[in-house]
Amino acid sequence: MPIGTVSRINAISLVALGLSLCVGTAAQAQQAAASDVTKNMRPVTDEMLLKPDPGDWLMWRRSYDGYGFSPLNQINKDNVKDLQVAWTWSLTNGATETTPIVHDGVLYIWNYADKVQALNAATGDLIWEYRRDLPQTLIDQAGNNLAKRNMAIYQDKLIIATSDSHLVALDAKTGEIAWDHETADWRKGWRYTSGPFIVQGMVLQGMTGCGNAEPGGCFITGHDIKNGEEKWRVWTIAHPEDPNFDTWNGVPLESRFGASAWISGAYDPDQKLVFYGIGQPYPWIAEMRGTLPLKKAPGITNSALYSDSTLAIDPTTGKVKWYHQYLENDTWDLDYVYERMLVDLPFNGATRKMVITTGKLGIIEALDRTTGEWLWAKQTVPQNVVASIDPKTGAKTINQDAVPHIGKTTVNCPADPGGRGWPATAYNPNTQTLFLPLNEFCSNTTPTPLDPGQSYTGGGRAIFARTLVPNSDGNVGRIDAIKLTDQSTVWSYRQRTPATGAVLPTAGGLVFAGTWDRYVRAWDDATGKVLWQVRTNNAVNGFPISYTVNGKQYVAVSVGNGSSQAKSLATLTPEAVAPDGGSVLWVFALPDKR
Amino acid sequence: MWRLLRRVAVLLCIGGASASADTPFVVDQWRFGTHETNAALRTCIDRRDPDWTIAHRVAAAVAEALLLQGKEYQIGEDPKTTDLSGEDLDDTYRMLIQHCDVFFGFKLVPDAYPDWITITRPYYRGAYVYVAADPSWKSLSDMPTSRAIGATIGTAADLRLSQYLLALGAGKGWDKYPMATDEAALRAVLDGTTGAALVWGPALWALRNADSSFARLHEIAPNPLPGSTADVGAILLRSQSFLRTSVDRAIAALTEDGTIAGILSDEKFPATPVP
Repeated sequence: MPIGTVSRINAISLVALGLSLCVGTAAQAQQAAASDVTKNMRPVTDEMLLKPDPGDWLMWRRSYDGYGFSPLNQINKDNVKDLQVAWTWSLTNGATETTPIVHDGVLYIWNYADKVQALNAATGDLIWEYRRDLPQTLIDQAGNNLAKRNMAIYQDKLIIATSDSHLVALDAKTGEIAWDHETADWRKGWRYTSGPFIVQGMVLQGMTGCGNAEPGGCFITGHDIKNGEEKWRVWTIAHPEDPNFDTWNGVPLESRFGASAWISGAYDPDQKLVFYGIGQPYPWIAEMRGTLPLKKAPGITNSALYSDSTLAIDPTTGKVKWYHQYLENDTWDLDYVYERMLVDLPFNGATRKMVITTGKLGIIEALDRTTGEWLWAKQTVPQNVVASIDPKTGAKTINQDAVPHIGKTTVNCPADPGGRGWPATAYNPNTQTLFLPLNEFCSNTTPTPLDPGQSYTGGGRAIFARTLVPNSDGNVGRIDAIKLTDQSTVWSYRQRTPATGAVLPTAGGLVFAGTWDRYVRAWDDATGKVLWQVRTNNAVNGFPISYTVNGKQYVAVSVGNGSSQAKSLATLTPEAVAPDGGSVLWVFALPDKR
Repeated sequence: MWRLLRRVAVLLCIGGASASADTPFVVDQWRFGTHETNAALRTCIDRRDPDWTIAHRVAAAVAEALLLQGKEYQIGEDPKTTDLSGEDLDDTYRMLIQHCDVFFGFKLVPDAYPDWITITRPYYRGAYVYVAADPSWKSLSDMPTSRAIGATIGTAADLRLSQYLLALGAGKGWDKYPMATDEAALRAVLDGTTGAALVWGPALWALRNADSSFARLHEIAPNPLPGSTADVGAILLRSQSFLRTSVDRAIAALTEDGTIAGILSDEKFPATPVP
């Protein structure tokens, strides 16, 4: 019985606790003495997920359409200058990259290395805490794999993906384990870095860590919400039974690596389809992984499906309805894995149901989400990889000068951490504007033998010497606002230090985001003018959210050092140093009226 | 010579490692303080490396030459539960601040190491080898181009083979399949997926010692390609310049007096000392 308030522990629970310690329980939880705001918490229903309460934040991007938008407007352009700290909560040091969940006044937060806490969302008081007893090996390995970008909530369960590749359902009121399902063997390199997505009573989860030690690539799985049992699995690399098997230049399955599904999905309830992004193939350099040069054989291609694609999946069966690949035979580590947004917009005289995403290239691309038909693209940051895009098909002509070759150094922009990375873009449906955290930089890329010892088996087999873009004014970080109806740039805010946090647009006419230099800012969403800013204790490196408790609006964002993407970007601005420790959840609100 | 080494040993005992701003990020690095084992040479070896027994003996010999007590930390005794993730060289930083001053068993690949690492002189030179099952093949040129070569990804020899095949042009040479590990490359030959494997010679040696099924395989000459070799040494934090100099001198002395050759010979290890 791994739960109990210290003050509530009695003889029986002590015995139980002792027994559980003796047998090496996989998890521990404890409930602190706190005002019990969970008492009136309602189970999260399908209807709530389909139409979330404006004051709740029930999933990674808040709503199934992936907007990351808050409909709250209590904090607005007029009063944001008065925004102040409501409370803070220290988190375990390490990469944060996390998104709180808020429901009925309870805020759930992931801590580095698999500690989950339920907090009173108005005060920051601890309600309960779950600590996973991770294998020491994983803790020693540390790194980004112990961060998780999101969790999920459904009915009375908080559902998490753990660093030892389990899915776990916790009682949302107590933190007790309801079920625990091992999806893959972490000892073989499988990892979760993002969390579950709840759709039609199924738990959907993407796998990462599919490097050289896991031939055959990654997968997305669908699980029974009642017990975690796996119901289906979609491989993200074409397997022999797949009609697209011959897209890997003839290399056998055991020589295919990568295509991680390391970001959560979006859901279209009308079509009953989920949309997942897939990452790049491994190793990153195509000549090394055998997909260049193209083999001259009938039926053989080298696009390396389904890397850098969108998969439209039936969440109940795992059947892939359609796919679209944005970047064939990626040889730069330029993922198209990130959030998918489901937007209905006019296009060529008709309203189209679109799925929109932006890859590391910083190119916004729209598909018809009913068919996968490519519709349009919009470039943001400087890039030299794509020379042109066919305006009808979306097919990209690659700048061959940017293709890395063994024995040469080539320049590609952006560099491998991407013109955008995991910090998510967000969409304000009221203004039909997309907001993007972006960074401008390039890489002098040299494929290099990197087999110094067993200590190196990862995906990168090249030296990526990151530099500012040619003729740069020194600015790296950007927040862009793009009107999606005509793809025009509304504004672009540029600054020296990198943009390292996701963006949060609100119905108050604001956009919140944060940067490596520790600032959280609020911009006027129409003009890009900074209306409010506060300097926190560390790099802003999470997904900001907004919620209400008893009618009062809050904005929450995590900060902390350790994210590999942020650290890579920060090499471009060595004068801006973030402290090693000090991961914190910051929560802001307007002062109470007197 | 030995007097000089002893003097260096004294110096290195009072010089602590310090992390520079360019070193990798380690959560709560403050936990790793100054080492207090002043009379010891703290070494790391990785038991997943095929040559770890050589590294183990060379490390001990280097410590002895420096008149220090060897204190060895073994990584990955169980290859499935190592405390190195293997994803990034940054991981070795944590080993070097937590467990050891000198990490043995690294190929001296030009430009492959970040600035915070420095590399010793090599203590042996090994070769990458082509391996086949067909007894009639004496060299790679005997293998029909309809068969594929399974090459361990990203090695210097793999890149050399890639460049050769690229120069020939598509369809004019063998297909090359990237293989995750030396063992995977060898097993692909055994099961007929590929005709030949390109692997690190010491890995073939270790796998043959561990698994008799690999006895079916034999080395073939690399022609029409030239042979590929790699030198193996140890890494340290760049800030450990005194120690690096003393370890270099110890390796040089151990090479010169035949100690290294003796270790390689004892183990029947397919490598030579580097003069």
